[in-house]
Amino acid sequence: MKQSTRMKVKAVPILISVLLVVGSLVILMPFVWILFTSLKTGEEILRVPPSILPRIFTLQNYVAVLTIQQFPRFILNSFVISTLSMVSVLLTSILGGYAFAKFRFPLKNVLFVIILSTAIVPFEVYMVSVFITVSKLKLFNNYFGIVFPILIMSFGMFFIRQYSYSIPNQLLDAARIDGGSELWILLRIVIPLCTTPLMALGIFSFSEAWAFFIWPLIIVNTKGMYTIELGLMQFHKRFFMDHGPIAAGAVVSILPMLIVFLLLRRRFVQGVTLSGMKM
Amino acid sequence: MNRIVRYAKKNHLLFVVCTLGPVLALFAFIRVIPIIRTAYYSFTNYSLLIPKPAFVGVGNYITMLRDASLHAAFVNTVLITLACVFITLSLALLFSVLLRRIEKSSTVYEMIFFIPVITPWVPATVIWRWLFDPTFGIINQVLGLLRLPTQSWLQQPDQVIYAIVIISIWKTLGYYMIIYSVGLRNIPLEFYEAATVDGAGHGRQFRHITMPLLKPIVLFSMIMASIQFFNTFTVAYVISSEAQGSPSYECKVLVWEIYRNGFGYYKMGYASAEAMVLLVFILIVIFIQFRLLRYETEY
Repeated sequence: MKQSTRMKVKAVPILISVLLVVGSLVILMPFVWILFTSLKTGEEILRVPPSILPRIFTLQNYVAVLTIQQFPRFILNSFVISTLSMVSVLLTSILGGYAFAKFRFPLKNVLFVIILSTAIVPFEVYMVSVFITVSKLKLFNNYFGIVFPILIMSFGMFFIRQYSYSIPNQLLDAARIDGGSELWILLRIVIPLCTTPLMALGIFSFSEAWAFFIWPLIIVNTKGMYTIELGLMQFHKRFFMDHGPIAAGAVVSILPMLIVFLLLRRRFVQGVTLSGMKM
Repeated sequence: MNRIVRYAKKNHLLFVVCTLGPVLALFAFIRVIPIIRTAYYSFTNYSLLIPKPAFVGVGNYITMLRDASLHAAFVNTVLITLACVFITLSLALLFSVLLRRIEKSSTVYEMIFFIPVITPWVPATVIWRWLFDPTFGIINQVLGLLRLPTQSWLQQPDQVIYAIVIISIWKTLGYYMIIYSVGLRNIPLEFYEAATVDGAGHGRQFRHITMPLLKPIVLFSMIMASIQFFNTFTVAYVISSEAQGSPSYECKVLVWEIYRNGFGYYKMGYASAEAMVLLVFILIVIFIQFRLLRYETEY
């Protein structure tokens, strides 16, 4: 039954393993390299030929990034923006998704097709127009302005709608007969039954907001409102010849996502892949 | 009147209006109206610097025909998209098929390949910029060890695009690998067993079982990847930025042109017209691939 028993040649499994190991090394190499670089001293980084392992381990680059360069502030900004986006996406997705799945109302299909078709239009297409709106609302350099385009996610609503279908109507009707209000049913039955997709969606929207780059680049111009991505970019642009702190900054900006990923790996993969599957 | 009230009550319309209403309003405000307005702006000379924008008809579209910078960006974007879609999806298919064979440790590999996917584009590009450095970078070291000619990479204007393609493949491979793995897992093993009994080798099994059954997922991935790579921006922008005092060369891409015209020169009308071109191309790609999908799944 096992695949391996069917292999006539013993060399094939070895070849597969070699290919996978080489592939993994190529994938991981940049991370290993940046981590060790961030732990090197300034002069060791510029040594030719470069070595991978640092001779002297030092945390001075991290100290520099976290004290001189306002990185804690950027991390805070990114965290606030990602959290706001996540909360809003979850809220709008459950409200919209549930309503589309379980209620009948006029123009339902038309509205849903409109929402779904906006999902294939990339943000880059209408960002100019959003910029004009935000400039009229005077939301530059403001959390609300940064989070404005990512308050909703077409896919999120679709995803929750698909999941809400699986909730039996009898369950909802039983609750109604028992005198439960619609709000009570939503809060006590629908949301608890949707925790799995909501978690996947939450992680997905948080990581999307964390990596959001072009929009903050456009509308933020005071350093105090930089997201971590923007901070790293500016840092990368202006810091002359001091590679160590930039390496440390890159590690710091990857780390939060990596930790979330390692802790919630299955939900993470679920969220990110489902986003594609259900476009 | 009574009937309407009864209909509304029966379907809990009050609840629907209260929950869905704000959501739809937000949708209209953030998505639908901006998309429609972009189409409208593309026919005007809208600019933050002009107090009263005028309707210019297809003027912006005619200007685009003569915009050399846009043409270069368009060519680069198409090349990046073709290269990335083809190489990423082929590698993803190769690795997911390999993973299907080893079963037990496949999660570990899936996890490793997924780490670049969760890494945001800015740190990813910052890291790779150094790896490509001709003197301090590790890529030339490896090329040297393998006795291959070392490259000047980012210090050579026409090599920047290769760097962008390499980074993009590295960054997105894990995503498509997982999508293919899910697809492969949905193919029953009995099919392969039956084929083995009938004497079909691995090559024929791949051609006649794996490929046909995976086709919807392959085509779906092609759509996703095309959209994604057509929107390439951050990697091109970060890799082309002046850094560490070293000279840098631009690789123009479509979204960068929109960004430059819209927010560098405040030519919002012109940028909107470019955005419409981006949208139309994406729609064409989706349309073609949907046609293929419909045609191919009829068997």
